[in-house]
Amino acid sequence: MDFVILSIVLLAIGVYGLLTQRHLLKVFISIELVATAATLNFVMLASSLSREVGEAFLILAFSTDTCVSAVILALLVIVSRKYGTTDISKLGEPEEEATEVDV
Amino acid sequence: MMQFFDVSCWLVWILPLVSSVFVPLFSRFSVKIRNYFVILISAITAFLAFSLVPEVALGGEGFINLTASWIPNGVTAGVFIDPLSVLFTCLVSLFGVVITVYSQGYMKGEENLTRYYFFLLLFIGSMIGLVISDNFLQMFIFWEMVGLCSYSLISFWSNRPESVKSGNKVFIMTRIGDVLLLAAIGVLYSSLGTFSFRETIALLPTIPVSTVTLVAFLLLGGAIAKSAQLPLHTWLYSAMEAPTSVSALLHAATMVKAGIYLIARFIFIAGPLVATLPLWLPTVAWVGVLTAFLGATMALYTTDIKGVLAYSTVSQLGFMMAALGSVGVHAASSLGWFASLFHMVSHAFFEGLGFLLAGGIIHALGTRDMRLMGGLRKLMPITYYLALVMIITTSGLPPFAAFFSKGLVLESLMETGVLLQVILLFATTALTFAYSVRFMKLIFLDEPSEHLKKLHVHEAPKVMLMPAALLAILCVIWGFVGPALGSFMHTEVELSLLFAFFNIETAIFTVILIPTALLVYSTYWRKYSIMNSLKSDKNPIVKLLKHGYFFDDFYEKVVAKAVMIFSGGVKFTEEAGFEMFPQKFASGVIRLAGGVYKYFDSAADQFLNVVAGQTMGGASKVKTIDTLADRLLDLLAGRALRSASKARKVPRNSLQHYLAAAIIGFIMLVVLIIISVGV
Repeated sequence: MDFVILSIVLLAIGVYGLLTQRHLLKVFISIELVATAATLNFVMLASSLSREVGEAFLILAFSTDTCVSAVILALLVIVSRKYGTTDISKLGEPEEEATEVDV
Repeated sequence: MMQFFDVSCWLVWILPLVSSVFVPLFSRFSVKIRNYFVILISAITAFLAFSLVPEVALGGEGFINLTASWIPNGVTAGVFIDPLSVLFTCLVSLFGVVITVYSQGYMKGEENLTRYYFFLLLFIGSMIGLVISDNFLQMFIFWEMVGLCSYSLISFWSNRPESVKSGNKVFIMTRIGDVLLLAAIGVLYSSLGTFSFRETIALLPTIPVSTVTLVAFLLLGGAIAKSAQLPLHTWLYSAMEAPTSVSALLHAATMVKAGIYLIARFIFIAGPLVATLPLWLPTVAWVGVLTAFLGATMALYTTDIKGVLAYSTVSQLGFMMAALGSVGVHAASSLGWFASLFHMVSHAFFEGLGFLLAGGIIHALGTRDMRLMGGLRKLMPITYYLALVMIITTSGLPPFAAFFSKGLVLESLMETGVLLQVILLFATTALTFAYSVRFMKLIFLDEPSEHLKKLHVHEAPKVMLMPAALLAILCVIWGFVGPALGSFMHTEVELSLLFAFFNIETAIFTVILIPTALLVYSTYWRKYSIMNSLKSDKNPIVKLLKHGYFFDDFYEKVVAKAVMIFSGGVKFTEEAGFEMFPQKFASGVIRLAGGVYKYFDSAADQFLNVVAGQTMGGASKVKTIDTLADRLLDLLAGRALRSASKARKVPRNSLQHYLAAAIIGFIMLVVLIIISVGV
């Protein structure tokens, strides 16, 4: 069960990074860590239970993950160029106060 | 015929999915070609969907399950054709056509329409894929895809902060359900070793009831989030930031029904087993009843025209859920199961119609606030008459669709439900009537508002009215299709149209409508002063209802805050523990260096003094050396101090500090390993 521990540790580090980091790139790295933890869990469990489905899904997960990384990195470049900051707490602030719909 | 069926049941969801990719390509040629392409594809999809009907109707009992290999030795992809999936497929594809045509008018002149149509087609494909899948895994993938489409279409106006915010909110809230659904599928797979519906039907009775119960409750969680049931209903109101055509398609007619579909499908799979699950059916019924009641009360005080329709949708979804909770051992052949799906379709018609008309009004007036409307009866006569059909259907008056379907829901609950549930549902029908009439009064019958006088209001264009008219016709005739649909769905209960008029539900309904009508009349027409207190903001009940029972405030203030506080706490721990410690460590080293410097300085000084005193005689040379050494030491120490004070100002989060933390962590790990292995 060592790989489960490893996977949990990776997940914990990823979640921890998501909670504390404000830099977009670091957030992205944290997301990748979480994804890696999940993928690792997938393939190790699949091989230890000898189910091919898990391995097939690993390929799917990998390819998806790669696509997602590419898109996120592209977005990161755009965001940092457009807004001049990579701090997510600053990016989250609305530029103007959102007008509430009358309820 | 059979061969065409084999192809059509696959094409019906693959075609829109694949064609969605070509939307950007066609937009390169011309905007018109792109729009016609989208309409054409949705029309073909609708044709394919309706071509499935005779096969199922003639096919007799059971279902048709076609599979194709997907992952070797593991999972197969497939289609599962039975009355339930065909009903949903037809509904989705029909609405696909209606909305794509309607969008030609409503979204005219907007930017980024390629993205809009892409997601629209993707949604149609994935929603049909959701209902036609033959295994849980495939269904889950499509379940996620409709969530993605919902998110992207709500945030379609990406330059409006509130749209983006709502999109995020919807995505996060429905995610709760996605996780629960995934958990349910995981539990099922680990105990059955299959995702397929067909095999699950055979194997489900063989596993312990406790496992099935767990799965059932997890599935219910998924359905609650997707179908906007209590307590996660608030996302549907936020989803109203979407373009109105999207609201009609996703948030009234189809996507919100995915949860209903899930529960209906589970009841179909579990069969009589469903009645043996402890507490499950009562929970489903109670969730539905409470949602129906609270949704209707919230609709009473909303001034947003789409807000009323949103809460109305929440309330009607509650009706469907309540009916599903009333199925007994008869499961999928019981009255409750059929009533729920019957009402599902009639709700799609009248709520879809409501949204299409609201879209026309918003298009003409540029506002969603009903207080800025009024008197539209003369300005938009066709819309007015269509809205009349919509309102009569919504409130369940005979002889329109909802009269029959809602009657069946009430009947099924009266058979198996608790008395309180029945009372609450009847109260909800009265409330439905009240908010419907208020809706009409505020928009069409009141005095024209100041805002309206400034505008030149015109009737909605034909391309928007035609789809609405189609839905209005369906509202009128759908109720009479009931018995035919009953035999199509293999319901064991005999249904008759005549009986619907002369039974106890209709009598109670009529009786409670009269006081409701009087109350509404005295509040909104005569405006009696005593009734004004009902509307005033000081009334605590009004405040409660206007804020939607403070569900949103709770989520925002408590849940979101808690997460933020937790995250802040973690960050503080990090700063205090992992960053401050190296900081402290570094400054400790610096202080130590300072102490060492002082000690050495004075020691060297004294030593030199002693040496100098002893060699008093020819001391001038030595003294020179002494001062020189002194100076040298001073210089060195000064530099060390300066660099130390510089080091103190190194920004936190610097690589060095992380490195220090990493090394400390490494040392701690090594120590731990030594302890755990050595001892």
